[in-house]
Amino acid sequence: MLAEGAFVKVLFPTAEQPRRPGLLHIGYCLAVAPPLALVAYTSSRSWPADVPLPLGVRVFGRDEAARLNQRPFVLYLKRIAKLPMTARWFPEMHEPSAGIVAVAPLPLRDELLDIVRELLRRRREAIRRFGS
Amino acid sequence: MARSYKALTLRLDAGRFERLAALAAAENRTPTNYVETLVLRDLAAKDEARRVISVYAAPEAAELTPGPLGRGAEEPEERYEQRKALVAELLSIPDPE
Repeated sequence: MLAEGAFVKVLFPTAEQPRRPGLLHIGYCLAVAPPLALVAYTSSRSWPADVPLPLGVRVFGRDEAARLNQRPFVLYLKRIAKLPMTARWFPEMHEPSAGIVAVAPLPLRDELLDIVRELLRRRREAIRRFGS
Repeated sequence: MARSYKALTLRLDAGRFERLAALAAAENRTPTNYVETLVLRDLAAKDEARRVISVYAAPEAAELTPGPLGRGAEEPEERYEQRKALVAELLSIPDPE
């Protein structure tokens, strides 16, 4: 069952077509508040070595990714989708696995929540600083 | 490529216009330039906030009300409450489109 910490197969919307289900990705489930789920984007495209990591981007190397049943990937907590828990967005939700490939252990879930908390703090700060 | 500009008409009651003019004069601006600056600041704030974190919403999601936040059997009350606050803030972020 989909829950916080799950890495789940999801048709994450693209920037070009944010209103439609996009390509199949593995997303990280930040929260479930039925009938909605908040899912963060992941990509298997590696992060460029010469580009510093911004807050909200978390790289999972080979070993850590393998422990989560995945190839190396990059998690973008800066890019979240609010999605209905339906097969239109979670195509494998009715299969026995529910499309869940792994569940993050608690220390990792806490680490990722801390990153989101800091992103939200910076968002509030940006609005306060640039607002009138 | 040359920028193109659009004009708009803004109507304010006389009292508010006087206040606007006084605020603009204090910054050596015209009222028009003062209003333009306010708009540019607001757009910059929205761009900056979006750069920090974006929450895209599926079209169907707009009509759905989130129910109680899912909670694991062993999640402590304190963590759950912190997560509830965080999720409420995430859900309040407007869709960037």
